[in-house]
Amino acid sequence: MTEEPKLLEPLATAVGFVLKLVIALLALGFVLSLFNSNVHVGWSSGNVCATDQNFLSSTSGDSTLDQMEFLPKGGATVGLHPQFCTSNPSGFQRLLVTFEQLPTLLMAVGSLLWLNALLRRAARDGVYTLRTTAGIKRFGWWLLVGSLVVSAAKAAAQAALLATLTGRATSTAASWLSTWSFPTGMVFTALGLFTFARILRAGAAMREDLEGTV
Amino acid sequence: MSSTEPPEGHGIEVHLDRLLAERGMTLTELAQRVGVTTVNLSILKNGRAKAVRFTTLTSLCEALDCQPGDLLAYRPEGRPG
Repeated sequence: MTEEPKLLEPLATAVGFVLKLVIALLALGFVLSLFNSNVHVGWSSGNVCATDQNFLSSTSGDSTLDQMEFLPKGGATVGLHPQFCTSNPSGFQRLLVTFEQLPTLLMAVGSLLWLNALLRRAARDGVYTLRTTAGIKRFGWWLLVGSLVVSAAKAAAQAALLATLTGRATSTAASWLSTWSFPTGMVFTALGLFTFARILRAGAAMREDLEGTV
Repeated sequence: MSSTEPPEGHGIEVHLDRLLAERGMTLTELAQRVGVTTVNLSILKNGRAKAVRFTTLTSLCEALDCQPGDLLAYRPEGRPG
């Protein structure tokens, strides 16, 4: 049991360090936002922009591109997505930008906090315990559901923001779906955690048997 | 002399307390002879052990001058001993 906290390294140290760093940066950003009008946490200021990922203009070179640094070689084409910006965003547009960015931030900080708590509990109670395996499984569900909800909310906010900037009447389900990017990495991480929890549960049962062996 | 009640999941009784009493030996003394900790022997004596290694069983039989059958007995679950 005394060796078990070492099994959690280097993840435990890395998560603890990153969590402290993130909290310090967020606190610093919040304090700065109180004194500096150019710094805002959770509320956008200045230009508000949205890129239309559905529209792709492709060209192989013309006078406009000649002035740019990414000149395509012969036969190559350049894809361009239009970016719509406004220097005077309305309150609603700022709110949409917040809804676009805040869930991702909350999800990231929440995941770090959750993982940190899970690692601390595992170091205290033991790695090969049913409690730890249940914790890993719950964390997997958090990542799975959280990443799907966050990506959907982000896509909805992006689509709505784009609609306000392009003059489209409303953001449709189709525009939301085209903006939505499936969180493949997070989903597979969650599935991996489910499998890892199953393996660890079998290990915990074996450990329990071993401890009962005289 | 009552033997230890088997825990749930199996019907094996351990008669270590009876053998110790018959031989006038303490658990600590037996632990020193067989090279198993007193805690582990206590687990075995109280019927909380899930398994016994053949090496431990050999040492116990040597120290107590008995057969495995003297130490262990099978009682079907739910049947009073």
